[in-house]
Amino acid sequence: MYKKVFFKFFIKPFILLITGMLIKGKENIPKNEPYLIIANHNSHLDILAIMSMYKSSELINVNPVAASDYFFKNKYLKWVSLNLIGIIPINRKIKREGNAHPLDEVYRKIEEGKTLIIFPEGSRGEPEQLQKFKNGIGHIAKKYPDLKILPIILENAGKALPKNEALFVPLIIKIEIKEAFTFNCLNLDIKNFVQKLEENFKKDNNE
Amino acid sequence: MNILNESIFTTFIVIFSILIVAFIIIKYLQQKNDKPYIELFDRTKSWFYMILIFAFTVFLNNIIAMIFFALLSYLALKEYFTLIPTRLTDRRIIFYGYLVIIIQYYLAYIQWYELFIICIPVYLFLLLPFRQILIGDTNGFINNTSKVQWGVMLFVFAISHVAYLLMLPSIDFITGAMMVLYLIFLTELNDILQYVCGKSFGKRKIIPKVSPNKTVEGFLGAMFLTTILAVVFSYLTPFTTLEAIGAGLIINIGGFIGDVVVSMVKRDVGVKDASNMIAGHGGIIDRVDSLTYTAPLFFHYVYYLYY
Repeated sequence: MYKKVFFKFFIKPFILLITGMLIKGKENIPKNEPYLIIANHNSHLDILAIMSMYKSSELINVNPVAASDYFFKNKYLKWVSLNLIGIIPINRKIKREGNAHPLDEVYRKIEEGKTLIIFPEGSRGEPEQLQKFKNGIGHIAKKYPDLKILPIILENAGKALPKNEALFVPLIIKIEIKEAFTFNCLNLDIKNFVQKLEENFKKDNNE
Repeated sequence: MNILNESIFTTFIVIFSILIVAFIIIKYLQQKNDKPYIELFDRTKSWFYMILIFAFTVFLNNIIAMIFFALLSYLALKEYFTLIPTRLTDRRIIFYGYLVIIIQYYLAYIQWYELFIICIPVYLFLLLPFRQILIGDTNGFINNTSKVQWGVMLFVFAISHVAYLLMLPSIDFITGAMMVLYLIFLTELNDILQYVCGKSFGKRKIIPKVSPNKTVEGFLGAMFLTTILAVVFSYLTPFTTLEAIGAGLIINIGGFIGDVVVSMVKRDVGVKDASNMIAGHGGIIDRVDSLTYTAPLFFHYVYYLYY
């Protein structure tokens, strides 16, 4: 509820008027089935830009996966992340805690049919530069081999609001939505699969 | 409430009549040739909305008008900065580029002519290199500082002349708002006429390297028609017939150059349209390109003759 109002009256007007978006390949978004969005990560604007593509009513089902060690740093940030953005927290620091797996929460949400946004780079890197993908995305894809994975390439968000900078400089965010694919249709093991994903992003960045 | 001014109101009725005729012609063509003409229809529809927004912001209240033009500058500048390659270290001076929009339009609003005319060409010009020194990235310094200054000159300084024109005191019932309508109406019509004349009987290319669609016939045809229209609509200005012919030529030639200069920028970075903000038209830059030249030229023409 808070989330819907927050996006409709604050985030969307801000993204559309102040920064602006240029979306390519909107027809590639799968319809009537859950899917996983993977995107390159350079800025806090990434999440907001991707979520602004959706209608406010659809946003309830779109959740970004984010690091709890960063977003739960203080109670205000925690409240905003959980209630206004609706993040699914994962802890990057703790590997395993008893029987619980760090990705359990992610699996549960996928089974609930939510659309998840994952940044396989793990954290925001240098603007407009790709970091090595983490393997987590491979594990998720292997567990759900028929789940559609939708690569989204973001440009300029890292220049508008880079990591460790407070000054926001408006630039139009370019979003390119590629064709979706599943783990099954590539037929690779986890490591190669992740590498393949990474190449997908690299090729386009060099174009 | 400038829109209630008799001359302005009449002109808007003329403009909307032209649009309605255009819609009827498109519908007729669609039925006759059994083709959808999607692009032409989209364009005309966008014109309709643009004129509606223009009419109800610029001619309602002067403060709203200032905000409208400042926003126009902002959107154009943002498209420009997105188009051109920039370094990360230029973020600071790009920010100053945006910031100066507010100052420039405020100066236009309070009619402080001297500062308005030197704020960007002198003070911003001196400030940007200074800020670059503090950042200290010497690689590509001249290149990138110039890029920012040039964009601000074109999309803020040039376009803000329209805002200054709007605020000018009236001379014998001729208000600044009437001349703004005259300038923008003729500039945009000149764009359309160049396109239509070029499509109808264009043969010889005028500058094939920069803009292959521009022809000598289109340019001359538009020159002839724009000059006639400049005389017809001169009831919006204090001009004599001879002065109106001069204004028509300024708008025609200036509009052509502005259009081509922005094409040159887009060709340099290798895109056709700056963005997809206006359906059928491309970006804001593609719409205000001619105005970047006609606005200062027309303003100084009026200012020299009457103020």
